Amino acid sequence: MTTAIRLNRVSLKYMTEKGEVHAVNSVDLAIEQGEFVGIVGPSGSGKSTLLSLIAGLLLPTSGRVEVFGQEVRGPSSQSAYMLQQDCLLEWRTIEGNALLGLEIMGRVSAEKRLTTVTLLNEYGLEEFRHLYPRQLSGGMRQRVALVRTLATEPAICLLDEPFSALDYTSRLTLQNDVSTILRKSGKTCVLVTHDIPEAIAMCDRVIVLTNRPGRVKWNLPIELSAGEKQPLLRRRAPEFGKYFNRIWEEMELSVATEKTS
Amino acid sequence: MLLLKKLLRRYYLSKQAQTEEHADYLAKVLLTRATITLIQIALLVGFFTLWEFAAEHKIVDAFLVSRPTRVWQTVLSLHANGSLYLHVGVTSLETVIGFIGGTVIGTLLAAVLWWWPNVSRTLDPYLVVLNSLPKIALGPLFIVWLGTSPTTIVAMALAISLITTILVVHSGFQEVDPLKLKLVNSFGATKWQAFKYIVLPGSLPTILSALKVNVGLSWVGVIVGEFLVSRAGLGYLAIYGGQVLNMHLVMTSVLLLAVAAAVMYQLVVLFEKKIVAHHQ
Repeated sequence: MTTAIRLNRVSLKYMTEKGEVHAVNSVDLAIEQGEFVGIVGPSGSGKSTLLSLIAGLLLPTSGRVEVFGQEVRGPSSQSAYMLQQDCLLEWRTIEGNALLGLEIMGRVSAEKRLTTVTLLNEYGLEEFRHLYPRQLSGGMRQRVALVRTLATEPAICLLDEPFSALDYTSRLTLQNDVSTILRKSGKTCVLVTHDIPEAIAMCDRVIVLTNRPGRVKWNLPIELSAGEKQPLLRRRAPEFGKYFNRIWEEMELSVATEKTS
Repeated sequence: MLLLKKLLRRYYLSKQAQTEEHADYLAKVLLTRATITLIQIALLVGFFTLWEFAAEHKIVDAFLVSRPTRVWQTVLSLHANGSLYLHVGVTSLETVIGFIGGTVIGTLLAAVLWWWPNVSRTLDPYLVVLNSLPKIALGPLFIVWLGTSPTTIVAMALAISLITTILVVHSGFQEVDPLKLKLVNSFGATKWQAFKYIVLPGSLPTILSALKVNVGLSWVGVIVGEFLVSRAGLGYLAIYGGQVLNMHLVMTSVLLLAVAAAVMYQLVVLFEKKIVAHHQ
């Protein structure tokens, strides 16, 4: 197995007038190719910062971030984001939105266009291609966002709480769809979330971060007896509750230590 | 009224109404809308009738306040000698140049401020002062610098709308969804691409509402400019009429101005609707 993402003693601090803020501190992390890893932690623990570091949107103050053995020095086409909101551009058609990444990278070709349209068709969006985002439901919009992410053919997908803006039912359905699609494509995925059950249901491994400055506190492989990969079915596994309780306790502990310190 | 309602109800029942209550509802909606339109027309007709009547019976002095029939005669005589179109045309053209120029130049300067945030921070107090300055006070400067030409009038119109446009559009640029910027940055977008793909189209509604405000401001600038320097235009006509105590001419200019301004505003609203159809 190749290592897709490697963080080696990665720290990030930034300055404010009040002083230095350590967002993440000396994080070591390795994620294998094809793995689906969840990152959970109290708010402000630097979960999203870790994703930005992997994406090359932020550069570490010290340490090294590698993607497939190459040091990350800025945004690259190897990783792509899915954000808290679908971030569809209201003034572009669904197809125009799906092509946005390729357009910005200057990689639009007849072939890529066709691949993108095929992706749209695959996710049941063919009849909406020429419509505008406001004409679609929240779940459908997030599916378009997924197509936009996949269209640039990244090896790594960074999911920054992508379902948090959805209602409960669409969230469960979309977790299932997105997980199935991404696992089928064999991409390496990193999911940042507040939602512990979401992390357990979707990921092979869950990483718990400490309070700010974020460090890796705990690395928990999720092994559900059924060996099932579909989030909706995984939620029914008997061990699901145990995993939830263990992660919950770890996070409680983080919050408690913060309060006493 | 009751008969009308019954007729409408029967009409809707044969058309799109789903139940009798629905037909009643549709009839009521249409009647309310029609009543409002009728009252609006009645107000307009009533105003002019009352004005004419008062002038006819010497309740008001027609020499001072003119009267609708004389206004109409003035319009006809201006039409006959062709100067009607010259005056309306000149003023409208100056206004159009003023508000389009104000919006375009203002947006460009706002883009400069967005591109270099420190330039924006440096200039901020000066923009605030310039914004609160009554721009009409600059009139004498423009006359000396630019002469008594239409350029002065357009400059006046520009001066009035430019600074507000910069401030409004710049704050529109800054309010663009940071997540969308993060998205394009993750695709490796350059600053220019971020501007082109996200900031500019995302601020289009703001820019167009600035355009709408600028139409009104531009009229003010142009009329003041024409008061000061011009040889043609509705502002010139009004000030000339006042000087020779021809109040019919003054009233005619004011009424023509009202019509021209209303038409232009509606055109801009129409344009705005077409452009931002998909923005919500």
